[in-house]
Amino acid sequence: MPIHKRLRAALNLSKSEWHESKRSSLIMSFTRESIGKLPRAAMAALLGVLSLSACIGTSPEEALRAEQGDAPDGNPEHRPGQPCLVCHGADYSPGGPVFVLAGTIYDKSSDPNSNGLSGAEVSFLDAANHEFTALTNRKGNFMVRVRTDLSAPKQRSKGQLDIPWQPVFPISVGVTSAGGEERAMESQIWREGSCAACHHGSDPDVDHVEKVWYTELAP
Amino acid sequence: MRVGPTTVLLCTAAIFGACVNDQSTDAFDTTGTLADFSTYVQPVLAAGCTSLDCHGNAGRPLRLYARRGLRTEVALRGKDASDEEMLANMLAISGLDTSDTKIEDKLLLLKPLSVDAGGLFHKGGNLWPDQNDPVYRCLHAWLRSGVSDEAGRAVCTEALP
Repeated sequence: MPIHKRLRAALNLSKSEWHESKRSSLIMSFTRESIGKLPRAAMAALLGVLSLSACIGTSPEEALRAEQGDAPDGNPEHRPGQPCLVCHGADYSPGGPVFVLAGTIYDKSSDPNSNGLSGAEVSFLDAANHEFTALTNRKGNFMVRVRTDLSAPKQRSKGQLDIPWQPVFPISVGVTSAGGEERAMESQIWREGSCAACHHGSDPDVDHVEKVWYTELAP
Repeated sequence: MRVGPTTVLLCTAAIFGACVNDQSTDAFDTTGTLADFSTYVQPVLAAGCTSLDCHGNAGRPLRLYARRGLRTEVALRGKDASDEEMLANMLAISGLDTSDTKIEDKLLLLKPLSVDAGGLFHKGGNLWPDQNDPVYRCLHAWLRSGVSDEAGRAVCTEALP
């Protein structure tokens, strides 16, 4: 039996009522009489659909990704200043490579997104005493990926670092500019792999702090 | 069975209402005083719970304010948690469970506790290996008596990093 006939039978509607409901949308065309005619099973199904539609929409991951806007992708220098793991996280990775830690380092918090700090060393110490250091690329980006086939951390080109173990939170982090001294982040990273999840913009606000800067905060 | 449009509307409203995340904490009582909370409990929470990537995020079920985390006003950034913020933290903790829940069964204690020790899954990880962890004992003392006794205060002091 075609699906529309099965649906009409399930809703217990006459042919004319069915056509009427199709003209002015299924739900809106229900008259008091047609709703009253619904068998219990159909009513339960309708309420089930309503309850699902009330709670399910775009997933948080998809919504976050959409918030990042359009930009050319495909190389390690793209989208500086954005939360990398939105597209490169373990649970949701439409961007391909999965990172455990990634972000962008700036010299000053007032730097526009295109001027990250190149050649900075981003040093990590995790709760299992693993130490590793990533080197930022021309845009200030760095990204850390787990590769269990390695025996030691391996710095690759363009800010990419591979490490042989899953880092254990909490993680302490510090940044050293070429020829400079290390500046440590005051607090530890407890679960978020993207710097920009907490660090974005030139100024702090109630729910975030400014982008990761090395020399100074924006005036 | 005949179901009128009014019934359908009421059911729909109830279904939508069930999805709303109401973070109001006005209706909950707290255990101890703000002074004891700020001296003994807030520093412990600030050391391991309140970072911006954990409970210093307004979207999380337990929302906590702290010096280096979420703030009520941007002008407070860089300063210690205000009384208003610590009161909000007290209420948020109290509002996690219904008042008649046994202390050991409260989410504040079960979520960070290792699953192997009887805890619940916690996205932030198994922070306490067992019930002897000083932070567990400090928060237990707060829930039990508001750390009004010397033993509770001593364990909270021990829990500080």
